[in-house]
Amino acid sequence: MTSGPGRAPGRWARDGDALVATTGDGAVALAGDARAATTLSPLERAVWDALAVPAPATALAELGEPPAVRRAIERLLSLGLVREVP
Amino acid sequence: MPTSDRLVAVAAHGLAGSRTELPPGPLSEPEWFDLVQGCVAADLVGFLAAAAAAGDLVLTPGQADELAVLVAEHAGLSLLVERRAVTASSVLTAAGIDHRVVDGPARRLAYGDAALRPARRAHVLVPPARLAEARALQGPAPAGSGPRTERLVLLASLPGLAEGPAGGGAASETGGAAPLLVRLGPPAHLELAGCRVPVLSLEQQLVAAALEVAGSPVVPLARQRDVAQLALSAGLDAAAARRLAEALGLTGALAEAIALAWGTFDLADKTELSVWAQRVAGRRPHQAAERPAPAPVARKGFAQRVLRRSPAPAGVPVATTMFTSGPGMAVRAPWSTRRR
Repeated sequence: MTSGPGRAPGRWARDGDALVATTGDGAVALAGDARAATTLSPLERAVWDALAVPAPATALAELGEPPAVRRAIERLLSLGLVREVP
Repeated sequence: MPTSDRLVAVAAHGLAGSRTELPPGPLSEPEWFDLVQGCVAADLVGFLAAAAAAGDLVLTPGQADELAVLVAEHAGLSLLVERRAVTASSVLTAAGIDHRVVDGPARRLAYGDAALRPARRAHVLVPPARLAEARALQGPAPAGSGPRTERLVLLASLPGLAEGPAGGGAASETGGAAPLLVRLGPPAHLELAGCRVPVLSLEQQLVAAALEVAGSPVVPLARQRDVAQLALSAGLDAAAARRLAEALGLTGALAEAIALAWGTFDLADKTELSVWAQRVAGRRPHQAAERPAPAPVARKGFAQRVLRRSPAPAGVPVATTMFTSGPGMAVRAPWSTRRR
């Protein structure tokens, strides 16, 4: 995550090239440049769903504990499924 | 309950008005193994997962874990197919080649999500005169891939459609849209991965699915489910579907496919299209069974069972339900993969 202490929190947005299919509580996702799909946890899927509209991490607090939400965003970021936008 | 009945019930899960029933409790390991193998072979894994997620099929923790892995595998493969279709569509659009995605991601119009009806491959319809060019644009097939492993198949005509006026037809001198693409009418569009992908509309998909049913000596349950799902889609223009089938000379195929699906899934709902189909196909609902079945006309708790069925996924249109209990309506048609 490029946002950090002392920086104004950025907003997170879905990567437009990603494809996602829901599976029960979770989901399976395929990033734009990925060659294999990845399973998302229920929280990661919830974050993905919530980011249909770009939002800062603080706006996702209702989805879970802040550290858990932050880890979910970090994983989505590492998978290329979300990106930070101004 | 035989595995075949369980497979039909899985394939019917979520269909408004289906009177098929899933087993009440956890299956034994041999039963579960048979059901899973059957669902994998019949492309029903998504429906099996949906039934489990809705609580309509009780699983042991081990079975649930096994299913989760299976679903992720199938959904992942389906996303790769979608990616391939999106890429191909982008390339074809850039080259000015008219095209329609026939199935695969196009099924999202009816099902709403890729996981419910995962696709192993997608077919894309292009004008016959530009088929070779379209294939060249896709690049060489990956090493080791063959017809069974190709994720994208380019077609000049719908599978099962005879050559001639209704088929691919001759290309125009300008190499423009082939008669079939013109006859099909305008496409629907899906926003996938940031691309606007032209796909067959619900009506076009219904006719195409019916054509496959009519042309197949053994009709897969998933294909029958497609026919029922499409025919029950709230967004479907039934009159337009019938007009399209007539224009393509496929009225009988459409009627047969719908009547077959209604019988296989024991659908209580009557729609304008199902009534028409059963009349044209010459069979009344649930009376296609050769065996006499002295089932009651209305079974206790039937309405409650139907009404408590899991709601359709978000974005999936569901047809208005009209319950009927006419003579013979409760007679269960025997499951058969063979055309009747």
